[in-house]
Amino acid sequence: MNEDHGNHYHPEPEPDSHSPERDAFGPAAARGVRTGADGGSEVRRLAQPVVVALGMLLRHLHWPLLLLTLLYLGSGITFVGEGERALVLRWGKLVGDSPTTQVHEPGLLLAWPAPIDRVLRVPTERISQVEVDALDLTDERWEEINFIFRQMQANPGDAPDLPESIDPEREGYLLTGDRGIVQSRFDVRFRVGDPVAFALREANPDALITAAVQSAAVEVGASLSMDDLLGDQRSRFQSFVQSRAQATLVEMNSGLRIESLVLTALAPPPAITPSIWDVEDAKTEARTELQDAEAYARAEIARAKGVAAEVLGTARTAARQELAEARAFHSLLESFGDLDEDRRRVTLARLQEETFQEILLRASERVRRFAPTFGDSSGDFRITLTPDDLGLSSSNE
Amino acid sequence: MNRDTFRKFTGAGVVLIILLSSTTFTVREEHTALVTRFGKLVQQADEPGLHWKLPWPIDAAREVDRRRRVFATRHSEMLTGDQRNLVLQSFVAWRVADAALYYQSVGAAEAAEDKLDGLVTNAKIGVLGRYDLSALVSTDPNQSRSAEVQAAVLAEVAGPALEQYGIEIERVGFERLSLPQSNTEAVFDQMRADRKKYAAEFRATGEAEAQRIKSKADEDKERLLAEARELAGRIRGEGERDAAALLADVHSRDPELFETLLELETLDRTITEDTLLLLLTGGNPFRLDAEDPGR
Repeated sequence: MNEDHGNHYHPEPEPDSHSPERDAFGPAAARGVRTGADGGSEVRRLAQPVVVALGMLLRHLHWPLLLLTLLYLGSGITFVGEGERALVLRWGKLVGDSPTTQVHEPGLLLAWPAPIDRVLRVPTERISQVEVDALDLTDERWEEINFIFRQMQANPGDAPDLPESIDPEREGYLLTGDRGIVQSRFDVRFRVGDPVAFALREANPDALITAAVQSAAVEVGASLSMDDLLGDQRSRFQSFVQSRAQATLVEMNSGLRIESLVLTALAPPPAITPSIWDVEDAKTEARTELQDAEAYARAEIARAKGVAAEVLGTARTAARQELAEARAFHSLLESFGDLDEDRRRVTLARLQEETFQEILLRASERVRRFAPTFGDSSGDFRITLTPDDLGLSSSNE
Repeated sequence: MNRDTFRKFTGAGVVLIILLSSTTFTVREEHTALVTRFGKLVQQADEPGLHWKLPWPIDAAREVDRRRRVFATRHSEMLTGDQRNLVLQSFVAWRVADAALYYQSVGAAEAAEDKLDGLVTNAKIGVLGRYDLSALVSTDPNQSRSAEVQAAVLAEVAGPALEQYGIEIERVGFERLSLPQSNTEAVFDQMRADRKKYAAEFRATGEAEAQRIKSKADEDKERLLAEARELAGRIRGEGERDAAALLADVHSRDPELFETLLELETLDRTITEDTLLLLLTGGNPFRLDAEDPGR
């Protein structure tokens, strides 16, 4: 009796019964006896252990197997998220003849399971970032330099201990058009413009972006002077580098698009920085001097205008006054012209009295009257004045 | 279909899968598969998709990545046509064009880039010797030949790279233009001297311009005052002229009245609060005080 180690009992076949299956799986076959005249028996003999094992598996696990099969078939169903695009590679080949059919939009995507289909998701909306810092000192070096600068500002008289040369293999810089040296650093943000080119043609897109930006910076920087770069051409330099780098990426059909390129650092070598500071100080001093001169000019002109106005005002006032007095004289003449001789004399006397009264009232504190001695016929007289008469006090005689 | 038949079909399917997995291989987009039979190259599959081979260990399939790669060469010091030292570092964008030759000559990307580094460096030395430094570094746009130099380097290396290594070089660019370390000291000295000159120029220019502004302001001020004085003189003169005309009329019509009025006017103007008046009281209007002399 054949027994297997499963849960089923297989009775021995009848020795005289013949069927291809029984020949294949019968005891004679189990003993390795070649039965039948065709070569197919040999194949069946070789495949027998596999078939037996499969049969046992199917008998015991057919429902789980079915479930696994269904799951496997469903594993090709994919959800393409917002901000993504998907490419389907069927046996490694891109499915579709044109970008419209090759690139799948967000949503449900039906594909065969691996290894038949492979779905590549490409994040087309995600902004990636790379820092191009090979044209600058290292961060550690800058920390050392900044420490030295702080020491210099705290102790202005001390000689700075700044590096007097640069090893190009260890630290980077831009060589400017006037053979100057400037250190720079860029922050580049980019995204995928062409999913097919990005996913299938570029092995290391970050390296391509870095190379495009760095070579653009070297080329543009070598056409500008150091003072232009550090001065008012800085933003122009930044935009030229971006446009040149983007042109390179387009020429190479990279599928990458630079969204922004920012010049995060641009500075002369540390050894030159004190000289740069001196130039800035000189500019500030010149500006201050000009401002002071302009302020002086404004003040002097304003003052002169004021004096001129005063002079003219005084002249006008004096002219008006003189004219007014002359007119008053003339008016008096006109009024006297109407009087007879007696009235004229009386009027003149009255004018005299009025004038004396005004004078005496005005000088009342300083009037001294002296009467001549009666009977003295010499006609001479002597006047004695005291300090008080002269308005002098005893303290300032 | 009875259970037995189902089992047979399933079994056959599994066998088929096992057989297929060992006799097929997939070639991805931008890749090439090289099939070797007992180590000898017998097939090159460039088209993406499913391909056939004999099962291992008879046939073995090896995939070659044909996507574009970018690497940076080493720093190399070289001499320009005008005998100036320059340290150059380039980037090279390349891809596998002939997978079989690539596999046989270099085999892997790292080895390929090592070979390309040497090729490109030699080309740069040769090309740069034909150009002055100003072709790469100059503020004069008419002198710049950067694109031309890079194209010349590419032209020199493209052929040998393809023929020797099966590599297509797409682009060569200059990632770094530097000076040898020993030269940078002299550059720094020159930069410092230039900055010192600029600072002195700024100060001198500022001083001169300030002085010019002040001098002009003084000039304008004097001119304003002189004009004002001249005008004031004219105004006074006109006033006096008109007044004199009126007074002359008074004098001509009544000289006695004119003299009297003038004397009174003079007294009124000249005697102030500070004037000491010495008056003889023998006459009007003081004759009533004659009995009290010296008061």
